[in-house]
Amino acid sequence: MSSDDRQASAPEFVRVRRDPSACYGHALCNAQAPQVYPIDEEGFSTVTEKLVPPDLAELAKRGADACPESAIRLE
Amino acid sequence: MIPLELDPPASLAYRKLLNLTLSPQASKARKPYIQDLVTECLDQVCESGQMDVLHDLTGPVTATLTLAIVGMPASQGRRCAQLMHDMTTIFPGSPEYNEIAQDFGKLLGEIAALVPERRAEPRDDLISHLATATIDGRALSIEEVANVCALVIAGGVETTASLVAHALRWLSEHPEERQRLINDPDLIPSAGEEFLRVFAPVAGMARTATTRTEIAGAMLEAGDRVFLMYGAANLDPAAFDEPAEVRLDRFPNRHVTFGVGSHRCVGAHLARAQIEIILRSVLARMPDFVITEAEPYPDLGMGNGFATMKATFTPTAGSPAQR
Repeated sequence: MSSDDRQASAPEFVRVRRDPSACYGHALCNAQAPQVYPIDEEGFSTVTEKLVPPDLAELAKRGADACPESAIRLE
Repeated sequence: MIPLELDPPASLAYRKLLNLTLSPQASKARKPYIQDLVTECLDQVCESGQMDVLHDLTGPVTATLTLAIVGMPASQGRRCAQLMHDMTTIFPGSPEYNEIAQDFGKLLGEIAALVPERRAEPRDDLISHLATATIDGRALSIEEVANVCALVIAGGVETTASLVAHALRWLSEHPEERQRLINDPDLIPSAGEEFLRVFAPVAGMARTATTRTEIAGAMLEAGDRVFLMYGAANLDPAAFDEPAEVRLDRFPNRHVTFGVGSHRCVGAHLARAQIEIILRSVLARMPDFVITEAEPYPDLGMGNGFATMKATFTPTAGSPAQR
C-alpha cells in the first residue's frame, strides 16, 4: 500500500497488473478510470499488464481500489 | 435454479447470454429508455404533489425496464411490479400468496408462449437470445427459457425498487445531505454505491462450500451450506471506516451487495443506471420531497425493503410533452 501511495503522489509511471483469474467483470475499474481500464463487451477489463503514465497514475489507483475482488495491483 | 447455483464453467454459457442484454455497454445504451420511463412516471404525479413511491415510481420503472429486457410489452410493467411486490410482502403459504404465485405462473406462461415466435424471428431481447442459443450443443427448452427469464424478473424488479425507496427515505431524513446531492449531482453515482452498501436489498444468499476451508476460525467442509450475509459484510469495521456512518462520497466502497465472484449480480450495471437516473430526476423535479409514510416489509429476513411508502412535495408542472 505505502509504495502505491508514494507512486500515486510522485510523478512516475506505474505498472498495472490485473489477475484474470480473480477478475469477475464487475467493471468498477472502468467506471472509475475508463482511460486506464477499457472493458470488453462482457464487462471484463482487457488489461492484464500495462504501464500507466504519471498523469493517469491517480486514476489507475482509483480503479484498482474500486475492484471488489482486489484483482488489480499497482507496482 | 439455473443459473443461480450453477458453477463455472457450466454457468458461463448462461452468463454470456444474459450479458448480451445486461453488460455495462448494454446497460449504458438503455439509459435514455430508463430516463423516459422515469420522466413518464414523474409526469403522472408531479402536479398532484404526492406520490406512492413504490407504485408510482420505483415499481413501474424497474418492472417495465426488466420486462423490456426480457422481451415483454411495457403495458405489463405495472402488473409485474405489483406481482413482484406482493410476492415479497405477503407470507408464503397464505391463500393470497398462492393466488399471487399463480399469477406469476401465468406471466411465465406468457413468456413461454413467446418462445416459438422469437425462435423464428429473433429480436434483441432475452427471450430471443435464449431461444436461439445452444448450450452444450442443444437448444434450451421453452421451460428453461421461461425459468431464466423468471430469475431475471425476480432479481431485477423489487430489489432495485427497494434500494431506491431506502435512498429516498434517507435523503428525506437528511435534508443537508440531500442539498449536497442537488448542488453536486456528480456525487449521485457514489451516493448510490453508499446506499447499496447500507441498504442491501438482498440481505444474504445461501451457497455451498466446494472445498474444505476456514473462515474466521470456523471450519467448513465441502458440501456445507453457508448463508452469506451481504448486509452484515457491508458493515464490517475491518473493511469500512466507520461502517455505520452513511458517507455519500465514500471511496473505496467495496460492498458486497451484488455478491462477489462468479455469481455476482449480472444486473448490477443496470441497477446502478436506474438508481442514478431515478435519484437524479427526483432531486431535480421534486427537490423538497418528504417521505410521509414508510412501512418496512413485515419480515426482513431475506429482503430489505418497504411494504408501503408515500411522499409529498411541492406540485410542479409536467414535462413539456405532457402539458
